[in-house]
Amino acid sequence: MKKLIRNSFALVGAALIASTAPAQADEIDDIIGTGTLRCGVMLDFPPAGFRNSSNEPDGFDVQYCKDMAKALGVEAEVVETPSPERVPALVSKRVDVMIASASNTLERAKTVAFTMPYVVYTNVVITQKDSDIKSFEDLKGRSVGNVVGTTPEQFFLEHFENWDDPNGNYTGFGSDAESYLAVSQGKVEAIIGSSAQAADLIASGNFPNLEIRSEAPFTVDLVSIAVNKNDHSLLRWANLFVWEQQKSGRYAELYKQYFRSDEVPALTIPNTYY
Amino acid sequence: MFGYSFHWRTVWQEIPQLAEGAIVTLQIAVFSMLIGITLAVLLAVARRNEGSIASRLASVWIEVARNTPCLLQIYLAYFGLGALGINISSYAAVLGAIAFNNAGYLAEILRGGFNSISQTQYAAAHSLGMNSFRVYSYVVLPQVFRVTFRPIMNQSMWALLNTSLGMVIGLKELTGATQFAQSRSFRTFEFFLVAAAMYYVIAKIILGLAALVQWRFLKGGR
Repeated sequence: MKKLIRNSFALVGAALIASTAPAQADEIDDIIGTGTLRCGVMLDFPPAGFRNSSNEPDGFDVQYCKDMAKALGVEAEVVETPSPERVPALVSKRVDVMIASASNTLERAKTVAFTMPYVVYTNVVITQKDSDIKSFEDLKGRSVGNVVGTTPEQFFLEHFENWDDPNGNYTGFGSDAESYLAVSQGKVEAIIGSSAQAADLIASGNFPNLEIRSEAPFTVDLVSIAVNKNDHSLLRWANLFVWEQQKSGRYAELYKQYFRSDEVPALTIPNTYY
Repeated sequence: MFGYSFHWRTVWQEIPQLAEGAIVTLQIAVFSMLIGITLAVLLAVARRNEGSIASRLASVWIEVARNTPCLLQIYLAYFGLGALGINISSYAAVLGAIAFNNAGYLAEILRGGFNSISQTQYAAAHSLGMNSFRVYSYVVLPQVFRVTFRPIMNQSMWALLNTSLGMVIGLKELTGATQFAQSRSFRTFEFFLVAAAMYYVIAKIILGLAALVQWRFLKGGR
């Protein structure tokens, strides 16, 4: 009996200690606790991220971040992260999520955790108007440029290595600004870029001698939101959020608004689940 | 530390690509210094004839090279000349721009060296029947280089680090190659740490070569 009483005291004591110790707070709790969702977004990649005429961050990715913050009931804070700084910002916890048009490759997924795809890009060949390059296959043996470290670059280099043409050469520039300037000055004969961005930049009138030639025969470039690998609860929540955006029609609405297209692409590959 | 575990294997697989970039970096650093020193001697000597056209041109060169960012100089060499219809490769643009930059800084360094040499030496050398070219090459310059050796080495470190700016115009030097490799795998920290270590080693190689030069040609230096 004595032992039983002693044991029950021990149990109650243990339960008390356990209840006073704080529960393990996860990333979602932290975001809700601080009241802000910090999103890493590229602001040099229209129409996904750019600064509008009043110098405010705007674009598909920026709106997506705001929607996500709203769903969490917190304020959105857009942190500008140029392409190479996206992952360092995420890993060093300067941002909570990365909504930065990052292609969800298996290689990258070893480092960060991707949600299901939230938007899709198609890539096109951009040349000067009087160029004799008519199709993607015409790029064989030509000088082609792109932005270093992008997925279109990796797609293109696969073709480039297969062609193995001694006359062909490839230059990877620091950003889109340089690659567009390079093709408009004729330093390279063509560049590969996202169709939406190309249409935007050519419509801006800054590159009057450029033209979109043809689609690049790459596999669809599905991009995902990324979170830190260990933020399991946030990853699950973000996945559901992406699905919800699709279900509610918000994805289609945003896509039409920013990508100026009536045709909203599917976020799946035929005959497969994500 | 912030829940990031380091994957070094990814980096080892890319070492050949990084090494290729490192060679480009070393080449540009060395060539731009050699060209820079040659031009700097001409600029510094030209500047000593105050009031002449050559002296004014040299002043303009030195002012522009020292008072504008190297990144801008690289942009101008690549896209600026491109706008005029002169297209040079990104390698040539980076090499040219950094040599231009080096020449400006080195000319100022050499000026200090020239000032440290007493006018009587010029007079003495001329009185021995030497022409100006011989006065400079046999009497003045060896002393100038001895005095300015360390600042020159300092500048060569800057030249080495400035090559990393070549990345923006598509040159695959060490930083460009690192950027290419890291964005494929997102193993940012590993790649940049390795690149930093490689820059350090290249800097040490250059300093080692310089120490050899100093030991062989500039004996008795301060």
